[in-house]
Amino acid sequence: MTRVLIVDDSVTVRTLFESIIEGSDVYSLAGTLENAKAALPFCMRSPVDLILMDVYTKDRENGLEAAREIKKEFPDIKIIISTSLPEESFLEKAKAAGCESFWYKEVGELGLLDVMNRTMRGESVYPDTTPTVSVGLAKSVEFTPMEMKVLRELCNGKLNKDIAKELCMSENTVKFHINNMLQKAGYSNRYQLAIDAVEQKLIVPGF
Amino acid sequence: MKHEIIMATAYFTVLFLSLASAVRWLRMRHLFPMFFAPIFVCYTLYELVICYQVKFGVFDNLDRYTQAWYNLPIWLHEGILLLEDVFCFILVRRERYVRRHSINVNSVADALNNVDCGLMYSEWDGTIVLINHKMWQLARIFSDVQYYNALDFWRMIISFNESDEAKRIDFTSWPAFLLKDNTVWSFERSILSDADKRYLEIVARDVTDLYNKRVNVEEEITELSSVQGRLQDVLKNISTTGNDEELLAYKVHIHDRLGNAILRTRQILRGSVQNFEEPARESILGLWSNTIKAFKNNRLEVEQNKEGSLAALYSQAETLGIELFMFGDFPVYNEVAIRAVREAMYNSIRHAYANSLTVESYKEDGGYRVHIYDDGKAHTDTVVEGGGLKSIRRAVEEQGGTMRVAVPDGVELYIFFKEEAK
Repeated sequence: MTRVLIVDDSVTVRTLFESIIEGSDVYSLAGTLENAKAALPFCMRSPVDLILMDVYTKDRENGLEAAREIKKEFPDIKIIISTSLPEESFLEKAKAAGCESFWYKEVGELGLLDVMNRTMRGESVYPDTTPTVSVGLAKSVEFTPMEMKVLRELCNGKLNKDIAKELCMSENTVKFHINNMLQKAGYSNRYQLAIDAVEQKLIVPGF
Repeated sequence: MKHEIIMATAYFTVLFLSLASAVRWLRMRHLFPMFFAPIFVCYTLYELVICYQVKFGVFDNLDRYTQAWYNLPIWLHEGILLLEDVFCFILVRRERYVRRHSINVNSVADALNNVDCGLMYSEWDGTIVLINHKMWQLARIFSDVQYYNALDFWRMIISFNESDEAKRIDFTSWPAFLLKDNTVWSFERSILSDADKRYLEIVARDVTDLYNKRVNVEEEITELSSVQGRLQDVLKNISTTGNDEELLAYKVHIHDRLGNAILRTRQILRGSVQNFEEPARESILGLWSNTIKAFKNNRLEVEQNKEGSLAALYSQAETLGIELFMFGDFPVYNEVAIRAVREAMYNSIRHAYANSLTVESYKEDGGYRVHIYDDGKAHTDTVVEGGGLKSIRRAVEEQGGTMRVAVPDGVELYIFFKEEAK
């Protein structure tokens, strides 16, 4: 039996995952946690084969960061990142942390079970794209990767010069990208753009 | 004869003054090249004309010496005059160079008038010893009165409020004024000390750029403050809204299950399902069991949100496989205290491989003194505070409390919470 640890701050979600696991013949429940930071101590005390890890857990604890630490200590434990946030960088961060799979939460047991089965067979299951959200008049897919990087820094409250320094580009280039995004979104200033991006959960500051 | 004397005098004067200038013997070196040299040049030109006239017999009654002088070859006259001109030209160039590269009364005055700020220097009693053109202009803007005393001028500046020409603005600690031409000037006063004397210095600086930038920054800060407020609200709601969407979806899912269970049960009760055998019975039992469990957990979530603190801590300790002992009056409603115990629990397992965590707390001086320690072994003599402990320390100190980390055997935390935050 594959021992599964569920890390999610919502009791209802945890219950659903539990019912999926309990209804399966190949998985057993190792434990459930609501805080990602508790996952590593748990793994040090109890045997775990697979973790279903939420990104945004209780007390704003970062599931991706926890996954990275777990992978460092226990590289054999397989991790599936599950989230409903469309933040694009989560996919890259999950890969960088060494997580095997990534699953956008859906209502449907088969979706998750399928991902779990494939992950345990050694596959890496990642969605091709992030869910599309609208920022003003623009769809999130209309923003280029570089524009997304600039937008992420903007949403973290950085000034042009700081963004330029962080991304190794000139301030004029930063302005150019921001103006392009403003044109696409139809906003007149950067603050509206940043607020909408955060409201739509396209960017989650601090994560 | 008269001509020879004048001409000889002229030549020797040129030579003498030039030499004098060259060795900077005479103080009038500036006057010579500027005024006398052109005169001598004109005079020598005049002499040249005379030479030509003598040569062509315009004058008849010349004595032999004069005749001999003017009968010298014309090229000799021309050569002498040319040398004289060149010499004068070199002198002029040299004097201009000296004037530009040396400090004297005139150069100081020029320099002061060319600076962009207003300057006024006075004796200790206020008697003005030096004022530049800009300061004089500014003084005329503020008052029609001609000031001869720097102290009076400064009193006028600090008491000045508003007129058609200028308006006082709150910009720096020194008096600052917005003028009619939209420039901003700041006045500063300082004391200059010499060996045995003190002077007053009043400086007026053009701070227009600085003022405009500050106005822009203030506008941006105002805008950013409102944006920051909105962003904080959004950040607070991210988790909530995200969970709300998930919850709604899952509740719909539970609702569907419930509907399915009711429908199946109804079918059985009505007798529409004929072969109600064991597998079907197990299936519908499982359906009801899952549905009831989901409802129970949903209720539990609501209860935990209200007062989960201590119970959640014990529950988490049990899940993580560590024993938690709590003694005394613990500030249960202080979220930071709960976080501190939780952080200590994680660290005890991760770094000290502890099996139990003890929390002792008691009321003291209008606050709570909390001591957290484990039964593990520390691997180092010092503790580098990572993200978790740093965050706890910041939160404790924001509440007015204190936090201390000690490493006698395992890691111990001593925290004082000033008051119970509800």
